[in-house]
Order: sequence, then C-alpha cells, then structure tokens
Amino acid sequence: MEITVNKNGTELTLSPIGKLDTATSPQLQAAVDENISGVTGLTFNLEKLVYLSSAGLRVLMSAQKTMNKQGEMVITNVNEDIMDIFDMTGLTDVFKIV
Amino acid sequence: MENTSNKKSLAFKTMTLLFIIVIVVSLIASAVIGVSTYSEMSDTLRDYTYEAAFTGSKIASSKQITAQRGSIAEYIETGKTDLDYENLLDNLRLIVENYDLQCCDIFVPHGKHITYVISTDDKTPGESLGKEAAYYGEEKDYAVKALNAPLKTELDYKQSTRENLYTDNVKNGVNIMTYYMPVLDKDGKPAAVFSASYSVDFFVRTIWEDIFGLMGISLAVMLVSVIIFYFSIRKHVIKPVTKLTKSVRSMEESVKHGQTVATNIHTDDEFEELATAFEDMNRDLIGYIDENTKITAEKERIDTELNLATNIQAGMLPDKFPAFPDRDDFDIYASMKPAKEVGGDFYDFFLIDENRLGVVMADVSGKGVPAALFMMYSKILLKSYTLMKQSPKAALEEVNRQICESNPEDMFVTVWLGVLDLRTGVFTAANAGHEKPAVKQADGRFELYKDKHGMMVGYMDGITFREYELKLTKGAKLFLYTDGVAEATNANDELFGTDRMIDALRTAEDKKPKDILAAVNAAVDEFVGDAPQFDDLTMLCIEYQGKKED
Repeated sequence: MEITVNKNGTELTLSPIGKLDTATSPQLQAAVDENISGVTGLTFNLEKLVYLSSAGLRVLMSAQKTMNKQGEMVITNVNEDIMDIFDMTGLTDVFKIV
Repeated sequence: MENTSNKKSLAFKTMTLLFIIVIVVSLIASAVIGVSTYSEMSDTLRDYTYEAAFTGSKIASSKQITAQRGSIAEYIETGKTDLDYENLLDNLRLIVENYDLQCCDIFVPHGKHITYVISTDDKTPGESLGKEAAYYGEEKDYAVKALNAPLKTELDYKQSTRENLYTDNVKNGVNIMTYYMPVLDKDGKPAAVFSASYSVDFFVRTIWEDIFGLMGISLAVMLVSVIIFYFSIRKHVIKPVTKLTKSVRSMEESVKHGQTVATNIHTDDEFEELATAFEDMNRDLIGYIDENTKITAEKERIDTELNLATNIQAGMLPDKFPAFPDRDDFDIYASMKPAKEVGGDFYDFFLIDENRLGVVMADVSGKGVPAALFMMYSKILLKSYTLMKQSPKAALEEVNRQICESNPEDMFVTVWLGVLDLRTGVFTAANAGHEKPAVKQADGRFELYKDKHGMMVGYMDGITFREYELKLTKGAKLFLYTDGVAEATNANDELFGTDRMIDALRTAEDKKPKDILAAVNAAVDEFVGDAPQFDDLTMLCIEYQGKKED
C-alpha cells in the first residue's frame, strides 16, 4: 500500500492507495500520528482505496476521535463497497462523508 | 577422538624435509669438495711423483749400485744380486713408502719387451731380475724418450721435457701415473729406465675416503641440528598446537557447563596470541549461548502461555455438540478456527430461560493477545447483560457504556446479538457493525438478510442501538459469521465474498447446521488453496424447529 500525504498549513490530506488491512493499517496509523499535530482540517481521500478491513476502520475511527477535539475530519471519494462497510458498521452517522 | 595423526604428520613432514635437505646438501658439498680437491691435487700429485722418480733414478744411477759390478747389464747377465742391489731395493722401497707410490721399477727396454732389473714389488731381492715382460700401452715410447733424456743432478727438467717423461697408464687393472727417468751406468751412459708409478685409484680412493669422512661429519652435525630443531619444533610448535587442539575439542563439553577452557599456553609468541584469541572467543561464545538460552526459554514461556491462552479462549466458547440434547425445538452448531494462536472472533449461545435463547457472533478489532483479552472481556459482558436485560438493544448499550469507560487502546467489537423466542420463532436482534446474517426460511433459500446496523461496540460512549424482529418459520435457518469468511483470500488476492458464501450455503441448505458449516468450511478451503489466511474463520448456524404440534 502507498499513502500520499499532502500537508498545507493546518490542512492535511491523506490518500491511502490499495488495500487497508491488518498488515498495512499500521502504515496509515503512522502517517496520521506523524502529521496530525496542529491540524484542524483532516481529509481522507479514499478514491484509490480498494479494500478496508476492521483494522483500517480502527485507524479512521481513532483519527475521528482525535479530530473531534481539534477540528474537523472529512472522508471523500468513498466508493460503493466501502460505503457498504461504513453503513454496516454504523459509521455513516459518525463520519462526515462528502 | 584422540587425534594424534595431525601431530605425527607435522613432525614427520618436518623431519622428512629436513633429512632430504641434509642429504642433498651433504651430497652437493661432498661432490664440490671432491671435484675441487681432485683437480687441485692431481697437479701436486704429478710433481710429487716426478720428485719420487727423480730421486729414485738418481739413487739408482749413483755409484752405489754400480760400484762393484760396473754395469746394469752385468746384473742381468749374471742374475745375481749383491749388497748394493739389496741396498738399492731398500732405498727404493723407502721411496715407495715415503711417496705412497704403487711401485718403482728399473728395466732395460728392448724392441718388443723389457727386461726387469729390479722391482719394489719383489718379495725377495732379485726375484724379477732378468725377467722379461711386455710393454704396457705406450710405455715403449716413453721408455725410449727417457733413455735419451739426460739425467740431471737437480730437479730442473724443463716442463716440456717433463711432459715427455710422463704417462697415464693401466697396469694390472689399476690406473696409474708413471714418470720414466734414465738410469746411468758407471760410465755415465743411460743403461736402463727407472719408472715410478703412483696409483691414481689409490689417490681417488683416498679422496673418496676423505669425502666420506667429511660427509659423515657433516651428516652427523646436521643430524644433531635436525634433532635439536625437531625438539625445538615439538616444544614451540607441536606442543602448543596439540594443547590448543585439545582445548578446542574440550570446548564443546565445557561450554555446555558454562565453563571457559584454559589453554595454558604461555609461549610468548604467536601461539599465545592465538590461544588468547581462542579463550576470548570461548568466553564470548558462552555469553552468546547464555543469552540465547535465556531468549529461547523466554520464547518457550511465551509460546506455552499463548497455548494456554488459546486453550482458555477455546474453553470459553461453548463447543459441546449437541449443545442441548434434550431440546428438539432447535438445533445449533458453531465453530471457530483462529488464524493465529489466539484470535479475536467469538460466538456464544445460552438459554436465558426455558423459552429464550441468546445468540452472539462478534469480532474484535485487531489480532493476537490484545484482541483475545478484549474478546474475553466483551464476551463476559455481553452474556451477563443479555441475561440481565433480556433485550439486545439494552444489553449492547450497557456493554458499550462499560467498555467505553475504560478502553485505552481504542479497541472495538462488532456484535450481532439476538434473543430467539423458542415458542414463536421471533428473533429480537441488534447488529452493532457486524456482517449481515444469512437467513433461509423453511420454504425459501439462503439469502443475506439486510438488517439495520448500528455502531460497533466500544467506539463511542452513549450511543443507542436499534432492535429489529426477525420471524423464523418452523424449519428456518439463520447463519452468522465473521469477516474471516467473506474476506478469505486466495493466491490471486480475490476475496471469497458473500456471493460465494451464499452459494456454498445453498449447496447444503437442507442439511443439519453442522453439515452446513462443514460445507462452507470446505468451500472456503477449496477457494483459498495454499494462500496463508490472516483472519479467523468463525461461523454459527441455528435451525428453528419450534414446538412439535401434537
């Protein structure tokens, strides 16, 4: 998996590419931990994400918890499969998906 | 395993090499000495023989021999010896002795033979007097030359004259060098020839004897050196090497007992350095072994504990089937196959009372020991609150509250929780972020049941869950699973998926829950092949039969 990190002042965009599963989630967690300090606007661009496991969900959920305290988090370009997962896990109520 | 062959071969090699060197050096030295001695000595020897011949012929020509008789011819004619003759013989023998000559002869040369006058070979005086003999080789020419050579009183023959008087010859199989000189009668005229012969063989033999002596001495000296050298090698090389070898051999045993091997080599040279290096290595090795033993022991302890954890975890799930042998109104079967030693999936079922059955299917986020710990905690809470509240919605809300109170690792668990009323077949259920169940009504086929989803448990405090009711007809089946089933992956990175799962369920939909699970398991196994699996495989199937209508 690859992660594109785009930081512009207090705006951070993370774009995971490929599969976000047990093996690759720590990479995204590391990218979040490294960049999240001082960020008020966090965007996850899931355009090129083909698979999301519960380990990947956990990263998004913990990022959401952090952003609840310091700003806003949005998730963009969610495809149908991943939207199903968000639906199934009840996260559509928690995440701001645009 | 006593190994002495190396030591022997080292000593043997050294000794053999040294012996060969000694012998070759001795031979070369002897040959050089012999050749140089010979070439140096042969000139001296000629002068020496010349001197003997000159002295002899002078004595023979002196008045002593001819004082009584007057001429040599007279001796030959009469064949009688006298005192003068005997004196001469004695004198000539002295010369032979003094000069190490082969012999001295006086003879008269004739056309084809010679007539002996005197010979130092004679055993009695006059033995050869008057005897005739053939010339040896070119003796005749030299004899004639000698007869014509003027006898001088001093050793002052010119070199050219001396050359003419000298020849090498073979007499009676002996190599000799001979000088010929004239012997004068009383009247001063040459009457006979004096020959002084020196044995070259004797000379060569003498030289050889000298060489052998020399060789013997040098061999002895070198042998002594070799032996000293050998002992020195034994002391300074072989013994330290042997000691070191022993130490190395004993190392394996010593290391087992954590003891360092002392080499006891104090040679103050490279061997001591090597021995010290070896001892250092030995010490390091023991350190590494200790460390490795500790690590291995630690790893074994962890493995053992993980196994225990697996056993405890497996023991927590109801795994005795048939689970309710005295009930004929439902049949239930479940299985869990963890991908790691301890997994995060779990299922549970329990009777709340005579008429209600609680059923749980859950998946904890993450893997390994943390997931297992969280799973234990969640399982106990879920069962306790379901028994207490008797409503899935209320139970989930309470469990969520409890978990969110203290969840430092931000873990969560997806739960499908249902309570089945065994009298009516109504399942009251709540889905907290879990996979959709598959349902087969008595007259239908297995389909995914698109139930209402809530948030997973443990993520956010104070959330509410939604309950729904699902009516099972008599003979209906409900299949619950975790994402390990739908997300089993084959070597081409393809997911098993819910479509394939439904297909597999349908192949066995008329069978008992146990056979349905076996069919799904087989389909997953066939699909993934040899690809490694990272997720647990957990399934549960319940068949509702209801009360028999009497």
